Amino acid sequence: MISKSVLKPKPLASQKVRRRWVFSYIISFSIALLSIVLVGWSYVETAAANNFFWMSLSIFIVSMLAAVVAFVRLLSSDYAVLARTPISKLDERQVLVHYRATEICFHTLSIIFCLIAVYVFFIQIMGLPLLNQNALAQFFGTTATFITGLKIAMIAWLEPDLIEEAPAKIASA
Amino acid sequence: MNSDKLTIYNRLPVLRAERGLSRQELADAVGVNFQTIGYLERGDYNPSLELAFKLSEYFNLPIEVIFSTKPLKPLSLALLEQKEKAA
Repeated sequence: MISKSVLKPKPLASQKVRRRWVFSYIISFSIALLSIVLVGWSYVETAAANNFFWMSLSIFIVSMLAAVVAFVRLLSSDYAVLARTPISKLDERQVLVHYRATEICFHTLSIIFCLIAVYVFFIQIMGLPLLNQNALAQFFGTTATFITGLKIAMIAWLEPDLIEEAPAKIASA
Repeated sequence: MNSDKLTIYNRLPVLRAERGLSRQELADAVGVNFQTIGYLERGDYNPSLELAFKLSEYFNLPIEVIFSTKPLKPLSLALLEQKEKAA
């Protein structure tokens, strides 16, 4: 059950709190990715739903829900104002945070797609195309969802603490 | 990381206090977020040339009076030295 207190924005949350949410977002998503690959794998392997399939699917649903909670928590809080505001309305320091987040996303995606390339290369060598390509198809769908939230998570990670007091101004910025 | 990053000192807190301005008022005047003024004052962020000129124009002071690569003397001390030089 998603508690209201979890989703309630806490203004001026510290960088430590933000990073904890970003960390839980990434971990939840990683588990979801792993379990959805196992879903595809187990289903094709047996050509029928089995215990392993249902277990993987349950883990996937729970971890995706956890990732969604973490993401909503990040996006709805005052410190995510940078992520919510169009870049044209930000000042030069805030734009720099956006640029750094974009750079980190670029490198992260490069690594992810590099790993996928290695994976595809590996399954071709092993001669198991159908079984593993099905798992890979599941993986791609979930990765696409992850990519959309990655930049917001990175901005929340990078933005330093809001030190000055003006919550009303922050909310309306 | 960039460990040899140039530190730029500034007199923004003094200039702002002298004029009785809040960070928000100064930020609105030069077109940045009020948090950015805080980062500038603490030396956590170095302004662009454009922002430095905007601040210079706003305070009606030369850039080198507001920003310096060396630690700035207190304004009162700088004034006293200038007075002594003139005398």
